[in-house]
Amino acid sequence: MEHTHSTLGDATFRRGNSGVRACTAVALALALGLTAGCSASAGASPFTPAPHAARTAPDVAADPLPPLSKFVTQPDGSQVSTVSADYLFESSSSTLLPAAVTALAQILPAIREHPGPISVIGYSDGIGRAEDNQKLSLDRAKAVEAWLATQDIPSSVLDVEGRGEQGAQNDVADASRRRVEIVLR
Amino acid sequence: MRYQVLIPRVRARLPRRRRLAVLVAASMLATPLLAACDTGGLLGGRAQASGPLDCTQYQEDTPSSGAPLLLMLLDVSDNSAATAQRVATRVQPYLDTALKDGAYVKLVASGGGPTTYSDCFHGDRMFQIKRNNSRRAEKDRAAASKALGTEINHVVQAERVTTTGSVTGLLGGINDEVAAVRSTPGAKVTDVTVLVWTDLLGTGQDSDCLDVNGKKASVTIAEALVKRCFSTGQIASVGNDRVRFLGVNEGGADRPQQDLARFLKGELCRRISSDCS
Repeated sequence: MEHTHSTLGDATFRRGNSGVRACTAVALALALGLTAGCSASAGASPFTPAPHAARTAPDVAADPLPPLSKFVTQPDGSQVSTVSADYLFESSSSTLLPAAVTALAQILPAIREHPGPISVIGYSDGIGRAEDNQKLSLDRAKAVEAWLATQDIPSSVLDVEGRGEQGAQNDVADASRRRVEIVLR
Repeated sequence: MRYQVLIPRVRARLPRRRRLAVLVAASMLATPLLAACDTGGLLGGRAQASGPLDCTQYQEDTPSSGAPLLLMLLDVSDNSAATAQRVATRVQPYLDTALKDGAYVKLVASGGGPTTYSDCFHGDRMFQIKRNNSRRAEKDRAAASKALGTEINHVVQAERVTTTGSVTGLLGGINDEVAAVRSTPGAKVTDVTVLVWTDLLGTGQDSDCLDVNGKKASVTIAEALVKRCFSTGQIASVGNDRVRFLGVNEGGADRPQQDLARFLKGELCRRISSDCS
């Protein structure tokens, strides 16, 4: 029984013919060679992944201490609240983190009740260039001021100041120096 | 009459045809090997991270002015395909720059056990795609970027991950890795960029300064942990080398873990390099 190849339609390409078998073998080999050897790009590398595994996640406790201290009365009668800049900002950034809003909201009632001027003062530690730290501390203070303004604290009572590395040891990383103070005068 | 003459001739040639067919078939199968095609599908997979990708095709001779070094450190805490893709995606822009401008590229990975080195990214030759035709260069760079991205993906998936570990060893080894590349004969390294893929959520032995298991997510704790890393010499400053942390808080960490990882990144950055983020 013979079946003519539908596309070639040539009498020499018929099953049962040895010539056809030979050609089929060539075609198969070509296909196999291409699919097995070069089906993927030459750049792809075969590999067997290691068994899937993941490191055990560490048990990290939330910090029970509020990031904002209460207002403390200073010798001159003003009150100051200090917040670690690390809670409010990413490293070297002056963009308030979402969590910072929650922290700042804690002292908002006291700020609203204060009848006098309010200062927002930024500080940095001694790592990096002094002029960069000066600018960063000011930008951070401005970011806090801007958020207070969105909370209906009149900008007329707000002033900002950047004190940079003031009081910090040069070239020493010190979390206690990276802070923002809110002073009720 | 004409057919009667022809048919016997054809029949007489058939055995030779068969031999020819076998020969052709064998040559077709051998072609991929000879042409350095990927024969993995035919020969079976390999357990190694770096397969037979011929990375030399993406490399050039270093100019006399030297070339920068891109050192990739992968702290693999999860070797899933999803994580591997994330890693590859995050490092891709740096690879693209390397392929365009030229750079030595070295990759070191650890899943918590011993560090493993990539067969492709040795750091001894400069990666770059240069073509006279700019369109051709773009196309070839895109192809190279894809292939190298896949290579990184495979490195991550092939890494054996243990239940404990941290990035401490990789960070502590930066200076040695850079020095090794600098001391390679013929290599001239200009500036250095270190990419560190890590979630900074290390676990393990108490002696490991970045073991955060049981710690509190506070700035003070993070500062103390990192101070200890440097005071004990587990991690050293890399000076002005550029360091970029990738992968911090890009996984499924809970809030305290995220906070502590963020604080740690800040503390590490302040101490490890003057150019770190």
